[in-house]
Amino acid sequence: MNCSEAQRLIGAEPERADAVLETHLSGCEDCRRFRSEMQALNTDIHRALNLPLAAWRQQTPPMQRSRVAPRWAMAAGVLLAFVSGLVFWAVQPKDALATDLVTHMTHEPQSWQDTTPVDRAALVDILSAAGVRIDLPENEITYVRHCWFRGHFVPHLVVRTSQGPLTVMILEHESVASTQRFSKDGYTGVLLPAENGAIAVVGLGPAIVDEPARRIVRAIHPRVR
Amino acid sequence: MIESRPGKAGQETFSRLLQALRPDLVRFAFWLARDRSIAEDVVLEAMLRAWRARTELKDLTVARHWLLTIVRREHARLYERKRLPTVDVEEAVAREDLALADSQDSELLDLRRAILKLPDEYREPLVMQVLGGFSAAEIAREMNLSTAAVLTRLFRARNRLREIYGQVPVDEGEDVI
Repeated sequence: MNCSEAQRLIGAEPERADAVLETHLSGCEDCRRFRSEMQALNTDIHRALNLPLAAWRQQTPPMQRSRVAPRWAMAAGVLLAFVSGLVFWAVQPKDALATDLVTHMTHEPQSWQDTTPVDRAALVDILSAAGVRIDLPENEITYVRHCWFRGHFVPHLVVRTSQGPLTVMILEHESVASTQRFSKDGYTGVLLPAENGAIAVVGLGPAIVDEPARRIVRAIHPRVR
Repeated sequence: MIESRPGKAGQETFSRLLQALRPDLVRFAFWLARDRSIAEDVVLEAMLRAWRARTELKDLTVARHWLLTIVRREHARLYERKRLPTVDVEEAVAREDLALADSQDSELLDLRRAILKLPDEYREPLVMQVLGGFSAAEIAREMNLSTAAVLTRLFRARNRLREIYGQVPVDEGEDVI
C-alpha cells in the first residue's frame, strides 16, 4: 500500500481498522498525521451534522415555497405544529390540548381553502386507520389528511357547514371528561368526549360551533376492525 | 432481541419510537435536502410510510437505521416525482444560516456551511455514513453504486472539508464508478 492508497482509505473511513493500513502507518509519519487530522475532522463533522433543532422552533418557518405543491406545505406545517407543541405537551396545563389544536391549524391554512369534495377512497382509508367511519354527505368534506399530532397519526378533516368550514380532528388517544369550549387566537372550538377518545371541532373566528359539532359527532361511528 | 409487539401495545410502542427518533430523522433529511421545510415534509411522509409498514419492523434495535433508510428513499422519491430544480447553494446557505448557527462556535458554523456546499454526490454518502451510521456497502446499495465509488466519494467529501482547517487537500485521483 502506498501513501495515496492509504490516504484515500483513511479519508473514506477514518476510524477503520485495517491490518494492511496499520502496517503502512507504522512506517509513515505523514500518513499517521493525515489520519489524526482526518479523525479530528470526522469528530467535528459529527458535531456539525447534529444540528440544534431547538433553534428551529424559535424561528418563523418559511411559508413561501413556490417549488413544492400545497400538500407539502401543509405537511410541513403539521410537523412544525407538532414540534412547537412539544413544550406545552410536556407541561400539560388543562388547556394544552386546545392550544396544540390551534397551533396545528395555524400551520395548515390551506385546509380551510379547499372546496372540492375529497376522494371517497382516501376518506375511508384515513378514517379506517382510526377505526371510525363518518355518515355525512360526501360533498361536505373538503379536506382529509393523516396528521401527526401529539405523538400519533390522527384524521384531520374539514367539513363545510352553515357556519362555514369547520376542522374536525378525531383524537383516539386523547380524553376529555366532558364537553369543553375554547376560544384561542381567533379560533373557536369545542372538545367532545367520544366512544374512543375525543373529537375536536374548531371554526375560524367567532363561529357558533356547538350545533354543527354535535351533528358531526353524531355522524362519526366506530368501524369494526 | 427486542421485538415489536402486536396490536394496540405495538402501536403505542411504535408511536413512542417515532417520537424519540424524529429529531434524528429531521436532521438527516435536512442535510440531504438543504432545506428545512422540505426536510420536514420528507420526514412526515417517511413517518407515515413507516407507520403503514410498522409490522415489517421485527427488531426495534434496528429501527433507527430502518427509518433513516425510509427517509433517504422518500427524499429521493420527492426529487424524482416533483423534478425540483437544482438548489442554488449560496442561496441555500444564506436561507438556512440561522438553522446552522450554534452558540458562538464560528468554526462549527463554517464547517456546516461547507458541508451544505458539498455537491450532492459527496454530501449524501457523508451524511449517511456519519449521521446515519451506514456502512460503505449499505450506502452503495442505496445509491446504486459500487462500494469503491462510495469510498471515493467519502474521501473526496472529507478532503474538501479539510480546507476549513487550513489543511491542504490531497490529490483526489480518478473517478471510480
